[in-house]
Amino acid sequence: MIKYTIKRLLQSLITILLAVTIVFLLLRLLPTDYYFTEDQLMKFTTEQKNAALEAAGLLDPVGEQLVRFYGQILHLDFGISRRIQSGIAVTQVIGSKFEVSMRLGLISLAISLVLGVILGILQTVFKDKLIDHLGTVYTVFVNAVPALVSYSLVLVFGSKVLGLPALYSTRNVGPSSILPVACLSLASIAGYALWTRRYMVDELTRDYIKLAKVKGLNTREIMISHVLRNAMVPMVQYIPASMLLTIGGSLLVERFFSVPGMGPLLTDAINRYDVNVVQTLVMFYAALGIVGVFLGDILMMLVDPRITLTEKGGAR
Amino acid sequence: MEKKPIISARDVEIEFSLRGRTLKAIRKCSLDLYEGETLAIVGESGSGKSVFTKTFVGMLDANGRITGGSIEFEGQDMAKFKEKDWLKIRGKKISMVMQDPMTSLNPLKKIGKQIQESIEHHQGLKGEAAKKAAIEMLAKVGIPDPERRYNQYPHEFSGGMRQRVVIAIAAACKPQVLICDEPTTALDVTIQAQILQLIRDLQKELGMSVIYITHDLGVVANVADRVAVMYAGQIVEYGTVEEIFYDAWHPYTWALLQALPQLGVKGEALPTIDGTPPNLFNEIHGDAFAPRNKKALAIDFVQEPPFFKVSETHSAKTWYLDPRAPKVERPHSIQNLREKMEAAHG
Amino acid sequence: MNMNKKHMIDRRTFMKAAGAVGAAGLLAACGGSSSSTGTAGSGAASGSAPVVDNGGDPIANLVTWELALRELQTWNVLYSQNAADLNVLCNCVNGLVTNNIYGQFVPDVCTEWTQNEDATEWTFKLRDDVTWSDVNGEVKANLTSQDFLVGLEWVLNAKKNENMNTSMPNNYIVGAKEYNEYTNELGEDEAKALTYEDMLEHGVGISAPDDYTVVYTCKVPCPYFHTVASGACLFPAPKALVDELGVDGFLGLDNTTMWYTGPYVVNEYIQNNSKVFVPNPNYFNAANESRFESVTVRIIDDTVVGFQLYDAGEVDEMELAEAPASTILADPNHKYYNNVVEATPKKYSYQYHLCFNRKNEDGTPDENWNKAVANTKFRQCLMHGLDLLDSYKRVNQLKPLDLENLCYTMKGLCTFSDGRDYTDRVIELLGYPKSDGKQLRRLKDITQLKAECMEELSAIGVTFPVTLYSYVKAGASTDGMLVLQQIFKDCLGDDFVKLDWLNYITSMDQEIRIPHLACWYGSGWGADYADVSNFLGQEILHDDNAYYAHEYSYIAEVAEDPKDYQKELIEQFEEFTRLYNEANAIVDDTDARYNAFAQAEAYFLENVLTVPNYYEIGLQLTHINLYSKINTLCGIAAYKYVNWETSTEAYTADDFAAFAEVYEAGKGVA
Repeated sequence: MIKYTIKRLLQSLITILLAVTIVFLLLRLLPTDYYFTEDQLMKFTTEQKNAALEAAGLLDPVGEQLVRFYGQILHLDFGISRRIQSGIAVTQVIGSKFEVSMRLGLISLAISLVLGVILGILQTVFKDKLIDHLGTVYTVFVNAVPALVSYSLVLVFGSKVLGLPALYSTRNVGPSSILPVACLSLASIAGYALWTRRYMVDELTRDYIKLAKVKGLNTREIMISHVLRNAMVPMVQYIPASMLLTIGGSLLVERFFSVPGMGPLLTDAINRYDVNVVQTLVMFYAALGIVGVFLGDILMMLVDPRITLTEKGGAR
Repeated sequence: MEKKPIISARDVEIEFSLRGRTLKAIRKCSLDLYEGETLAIVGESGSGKSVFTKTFVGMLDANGRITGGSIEFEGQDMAKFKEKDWLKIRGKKISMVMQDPMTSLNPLKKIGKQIQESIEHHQGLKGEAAKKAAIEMLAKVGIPDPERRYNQYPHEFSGGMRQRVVIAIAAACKPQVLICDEPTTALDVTIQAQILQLIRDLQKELGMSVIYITHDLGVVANVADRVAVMYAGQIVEYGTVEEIFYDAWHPYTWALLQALPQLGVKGEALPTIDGTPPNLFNEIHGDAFAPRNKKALAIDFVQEPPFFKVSETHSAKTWYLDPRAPKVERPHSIQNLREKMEAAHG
Repeated sequence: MNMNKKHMIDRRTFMKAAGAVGAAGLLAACGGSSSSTGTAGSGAASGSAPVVDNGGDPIANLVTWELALRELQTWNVLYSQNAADLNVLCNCVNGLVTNNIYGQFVPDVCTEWTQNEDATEWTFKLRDDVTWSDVNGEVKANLTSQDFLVGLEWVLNAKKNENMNTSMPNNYIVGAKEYNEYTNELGEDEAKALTYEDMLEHGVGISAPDDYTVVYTCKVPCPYFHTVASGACLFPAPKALVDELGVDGFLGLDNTTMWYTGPYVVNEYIQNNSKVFVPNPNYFNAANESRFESVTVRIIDDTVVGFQLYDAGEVDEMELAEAPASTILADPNHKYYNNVVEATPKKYSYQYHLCFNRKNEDGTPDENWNKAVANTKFRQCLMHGLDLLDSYKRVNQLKPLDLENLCYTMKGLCTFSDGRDYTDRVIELLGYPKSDGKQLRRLKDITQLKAECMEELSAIGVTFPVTLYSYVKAGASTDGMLVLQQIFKDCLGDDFVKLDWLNYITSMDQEIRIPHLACWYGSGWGADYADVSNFLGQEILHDDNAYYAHEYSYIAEVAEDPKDYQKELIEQFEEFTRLYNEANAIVDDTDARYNAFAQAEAYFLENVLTVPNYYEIGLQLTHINLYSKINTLCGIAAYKYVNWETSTEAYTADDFAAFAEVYEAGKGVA
């Protein structure tokens, strides 16, 4: 087990390094003009442009930049943001934000899981009856209507009818988190309900469910103890990754409600060509994803006795 | 055994709706099951044996329904049962062992727990007491080292062992009736014998009546007291095992017996029954087997034969038994079956 | 010289527009002249009785908004060049000179300024009561003239400030450019170790004869230098703080590490969410300026969410985009019907810059267009024929006529000594009638012009209709273009000029402008300092710094090798340049200078060397008296939360009319 973990760890590190190197090189491919705002592009003479680029270390040959970059990472120096928050260390920029995203994300995940799975169970138990159809309508609606439209609806309803605060505010964290969490959960509930129903319905046709019935267990016992329990196995695989990726925040929801989280950070950084932030975030997200998958594999192993972790990597 | 039957099915009719059309799967089937006996129901695939017995535990598929007849058990007509009535029967009074041991058990639950579930549910035992009972059951079905095995998962058991576990689950609550739906078909021959023996032992110990569903006459010869032959959704002949083997009257039974591999002559092709079972979506006129029966009488195509009694325990649904019918010879190969069987089994 | 590219007034651009550096009272010309001596006092009314009493109380804790894409990037005022940053920082730090509500330049941390005879030497006397406080309100140091030396060295040092904000000091101050280039060459550590003493040794034209005096020496006579001094490039920096934080730390200031001189400190800052300003207990001008008990700025994604906020009472003002404005104005019974008022006008003078050297997509010159646009009558048809009112309505449905821009220089930037606005003089010279309240002032009957033009152009081989190519971002709404296209059709005719447009994916500059692909560019220019030369100087020939001449109209290229049909065009530009240089040479008499500029500008516009477009005055719902905000067309103080008149009741259009009256009356007095 230890050997396996170490092997996995090394593989992960290499994956992360590869990902960030590719991003690094891609960023360097962009014309350096993107580094400047429109105002600056007009005003600067070539020398001034060069001076700014050099200060940011963008003029050296790419190979040299890459080596220096690796050196910096080894020292855990992730550089300084130049465009998001000029002059502030990237770790600080990110650090102040991910706690917010994570908190909202985890709350939403918990709610979505619970509500989504319950809805999925209800849909399975009352398959093809009214509840099942209503659940399907909900799922289709949430997926068909563009996210921003749904959010606007939630905003108007929440703000006008329920009197909830319209924007996230750190002074009023509780009530002002309600609408963002609701929006985050909308689609997730539908997703979890859909998958729960699907896996549970799959289970219903299995022979051992027939055996359970013939044993004399009633529907409730069968559903919970056999169908749901078995259906959960393929689903839990994704839960650790989902949990970790809540750190990444949701771009749309956070923008919409002005949540000071990680969501818009990556796209903003790319737009403004803040290379240090982009690179660090890529590494961060890659690491999160990998850890999430790994935890998911371990969770699978715990939950399904047929599965053991093998040398080939991964649960099977 | 002249007792009152435990289960008495009379003129049961079962229909399935499939894509808007109706399939008459069981067309007026009657059957009695007596206490302590082993009854075998034989027939081809699609003859309706599984469907018929599923009604004894209320496990008919969702698109099927009983449209006629009655199934008496303990003074109640099970054909009219609602789900809540079945909860008192299944696993407790009437149990079933299913065909494929590889898929019958929940792969994610410990074996012991799966037995224990049944015990806890029906017998009201909890915790340690239930666990003890489950371990006992494991021992009873011949699983060595039951305490350790209790904590293992299905994938750690072989096919034969798993079937023992399934049997353990079915027998755990000492049911009155045990229905075994082709319990040995998926197992290899050596294991087969062990399983059959196990069921026999349990039957004796617990005083159960057992219904075997099988297409394998070898199994029938091994375990059955009485045999019922089904074809196209009806029971066409029933009797004691000897009567059926040595004194069969229905042409379908003859065809089945002819096809016994033990009767095969080296170098020759085994006899088969030409044709296919009838399409049960359509109305059937006359004897259902007539189209495949080379020696069918004219009347077989026109009118359905009633049951004719051959003895107190043996009846067959064929015009051959009508006094007015011409004499029909049993096929040659099965005429001296008794001798041939004794010779084969030594 | 802040620019904001406004391609067309399309919905998306409009919705992204935010309360940028705004100016109040654009509807009225601002008064006051840039005299040669300033006087102490802020020139603004201190918190006396409100101008309009609409039944509400003054707001103590103001809540206002900003768009997410305008969240500030840096807290270091010397490093910043974004209006977004300066909107926040103007409340935190002060420079030598600032503006009052009439747009006049008044002392900020100085008490007065004087210039020598030829306007090459400027002396600023400082107040002695200005202190640097930290975010907790503790006094850390006094402001002295040394801070200005430190500040200028920081700006000019390429390794410290990455060449931000260098263009104005380099252009005006003696030795600045040389020092800046010197630091460009140096190694990083060496340059970072330099101090203001090194800068002085290099002969840069700044000196501090005593603790409360700063003297600047200009390369050439600069009669408007005091307006330059209102810009971020000449702000002070406290030496003690720079020493304490080090170069990197000082560059990476945030609200908790910086030192404040201004009216507020920002004690809470959550990026992309909110900022809270609370009064600075040590503010030097607290006695004369009323402040809020707190100001909260909330970041919103766009004005849709913003409208919800306003409706829920969570914010005290909100710009109205086209859609909500239409909804409200369409229904006289709507609860906000009377509250729709004009918003803070943007500081840009928008023009359609004609391209005189258009190329086709394959790189060959578009002779058809180039010939047409070189013809004066053609351009005059564009100017006087196009009825742009419909496109103005998309910005402001209430009073679209007010948006019309007839000049090149920004209204309100320069005033004569009698209080008259410079642009009024230009309009007088151009002979436009007063507004009749119904249609744009520029419109004339162009039938004859059109006929003559078509005849002349056909004679040199132009085929009609001539296509005028504009541009739109791929995927963005084309509503604005469609409106414009219809205007072309109705006013000029499909037989004459047709509007079409090209798509670009990310960068208008890279994909459209630099390849010379568009026939005209909608663009707005904001003043860097208060003089006409800042505007007209972008269009002259023979000057490398003339931005539009080199980058938009490409007239500089044309001038190098004009074709036959362009000869007349070049002559016009030469004459314009001549008139401009004449005017620019007048440094001792502001009125004469402006008059001469007016001649040049009138000549420029008569021959339609660009097509003036509009002023961006949107609509809003507000609890704040627009006219009580500081008016800066250049400089950074437009978002200073001092002396604002507010009410817990939202203002109506009538209230605003009353405000305007009082404002006008007060102009002459100030």
